[in-house]
Amino acid sequence: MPDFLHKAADAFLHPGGWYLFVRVVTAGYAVSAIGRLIPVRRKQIAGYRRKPGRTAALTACGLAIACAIATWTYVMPRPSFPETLHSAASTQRTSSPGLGVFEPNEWETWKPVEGFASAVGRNPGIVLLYSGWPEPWQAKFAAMAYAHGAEPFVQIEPVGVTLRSIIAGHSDAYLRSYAASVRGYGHPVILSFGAEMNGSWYSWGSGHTRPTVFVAAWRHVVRVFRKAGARNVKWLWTVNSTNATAAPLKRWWPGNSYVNIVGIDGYYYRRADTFKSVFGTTITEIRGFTRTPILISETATGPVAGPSKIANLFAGVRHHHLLGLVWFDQAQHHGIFHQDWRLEDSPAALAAFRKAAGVRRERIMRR
Amino acid sequence: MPRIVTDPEPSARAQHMALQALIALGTPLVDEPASGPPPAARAAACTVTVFIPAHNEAASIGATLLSLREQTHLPSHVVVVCDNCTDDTAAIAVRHGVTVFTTVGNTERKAGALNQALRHFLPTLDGNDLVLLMDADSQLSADWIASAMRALQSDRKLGGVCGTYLGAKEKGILRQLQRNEFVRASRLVPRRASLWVLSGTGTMFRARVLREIGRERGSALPGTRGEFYHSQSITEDYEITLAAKSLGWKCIAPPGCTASTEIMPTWRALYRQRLRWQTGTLTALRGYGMTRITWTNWARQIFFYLRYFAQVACWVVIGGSLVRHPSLFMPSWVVVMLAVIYAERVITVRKAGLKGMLLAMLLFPEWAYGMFDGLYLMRALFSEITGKDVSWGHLGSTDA
Repeated sequence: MPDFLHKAADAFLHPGGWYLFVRVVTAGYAVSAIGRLIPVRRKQIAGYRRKPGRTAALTACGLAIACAIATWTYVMPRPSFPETLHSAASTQRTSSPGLGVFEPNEWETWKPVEGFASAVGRNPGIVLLYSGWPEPWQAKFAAMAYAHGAEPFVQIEPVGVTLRSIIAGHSDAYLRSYAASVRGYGHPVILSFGAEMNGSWYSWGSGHTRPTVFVAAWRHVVRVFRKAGARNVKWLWTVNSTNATAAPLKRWWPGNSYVNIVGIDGYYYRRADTFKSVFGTTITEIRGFTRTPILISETATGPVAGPSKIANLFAGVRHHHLLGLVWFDQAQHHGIFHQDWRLEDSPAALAAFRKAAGVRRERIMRR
Repeated sequence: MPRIVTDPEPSARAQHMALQALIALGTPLVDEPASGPPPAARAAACTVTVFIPAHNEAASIGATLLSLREQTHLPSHVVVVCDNCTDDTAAIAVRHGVTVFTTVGNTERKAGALNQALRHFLPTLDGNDLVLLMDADSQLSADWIASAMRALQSDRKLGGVCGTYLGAKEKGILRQLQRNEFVRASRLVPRRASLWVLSGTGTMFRARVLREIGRERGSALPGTRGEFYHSQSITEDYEITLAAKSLGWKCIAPPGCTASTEIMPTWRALYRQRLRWQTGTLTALRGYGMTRITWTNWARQIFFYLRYFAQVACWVVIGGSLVRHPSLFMPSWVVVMLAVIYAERVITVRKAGLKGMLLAMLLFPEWAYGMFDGLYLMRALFSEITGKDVSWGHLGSTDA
């Protein structure tokens, strides 16, 4: 089935809920409007005879097309990300990993995400947004994401505020209003708070804040949201990929009841980097204290590592039955840690990505 | 120029007439001969008799008769069927030199009036003769009769033909809304092979079709044997279309047949008219049940109701969503779909003129007009289910 048909079916049938109904009705009106605009031969003339079986044939054709679309959409497994989030690792083996993306300026316009989607030939099921403190919920961004069948993934960064003041409840008004907006949005949302706390580069991270304080702040934030009735939030606890010599991650762990997904941020900076060297240790360590599903919540392979690493990245995600990966699609030009991660800037990387991210149809069919 | 026929029983056809009178009165003796003279011979021979049921139509009957006088093919005989008239309808008709038939003790509205007149005049007609039944407030286009005859004479399976109709040109937004509706409907009619209704605005039948209907009432068709129009129906034109189709006759609106008809001046009048149409439609369909002929009509009615519910549900979803988070976002392909729908609304009313197109461009008036449908759709469904009667709601009897 051509990709555009898949996309069209997705556009209608993926968003779900009541808006799906509105879209189907609107499409019905549009199709009948086109039908009425197409000129046809006058049939109200003496001697006109309907060709026998023609109506039946047309009806049969219509039904067959509807059945084909329904089969394609519902019966054949689709690699859309939110589905893989809901069902655990069972489908991971055969379907392609979930795909997410971060694009600069995506809260203003969906164009960059659309550009990424058409470049890689797949609609991202997750779109990542960074939110400072105390920035409000980006309703437009969320609506755009929903309209395109993607789940908003917001990294809330407690900049300019201490975790202790959050624990003390000084930010509760902000958190409650944010939670109310998220609740009002009404569709699944991934929220993360204080990402990469195991690194030393943020005020809420290692060396600036004690792990017990971080854990208390995390639990406080989650509690405020739950109390506000924002049940549509999946809490993603984000660590930076680590190595064996670093302090244990478990110290920062808020507990299974406070986390729905574990996120790992990690990049292929150098030629020698592999999935094992970037994520291997971290995954092993996390699996030591939780079975919570893991998402590569921020990743990219830079020009230095080369496009050949993309296949390795996807292979690693599949091998470890991870939920998927979120590509950090931004061009940075500031040393080894801030390379040009943008896929669209490298035809070779793009080709490798398309190949690696592709759905393995033949394996699904065999199942 | 319509002749004044004072003697409805020409002696030359007396024998034939007597036979047909019996048939029309519900005593079927012999069937019409299946084979007749070739079309060309029939064309020359057949007559056209016009029946105009009128109930206090003094205001419009003059214009109606004038439109008949301007026909390229003049009718042989025009009969104004005066039904419980208390105004000058009969006098105006006489002044125009046409026959006036006055109903006696009719309590069955338009159908009853037409039945009385047809019982009186139909026996005088040959089976191939043509009968035109038209509303007293409609004006036919100049070649209406000629076009209808052409169609009936070139297709032997055609039982009845009617015209598409447009609203009379009067000022007002409500009137323009109705004209837009009629323009769109007339545009759609020729696109289908089948016709939903032989409109009372103007319909021409073969005399033999009417006789056959009269014969089959009470057995194959609903109603009482011997009546042509179903006396209990408040949309007798819709009902008789089902009757003709059920007997295997084809019905079409051939090119060249257009009419201009009355338009409801107020929302209340419009509501009553549409409620009458809708209730009559549902009642008629119930009378026929689900048959090979009526299943498309049933499907259409179900579609109308579902479409209305779906539309209301969409507005509720959109409204509810806007209340919850007041930002409206539409992906580009939804905008394209809406643009297509909008363009179609405007393009399809081209024939309604600039005013009609401007009204369509404003969107809201036509949207409100479409939402108004719900009132009579639901009320008709309600009365159909509860069995409550719906008033006649004809403009002539309510506002005139």
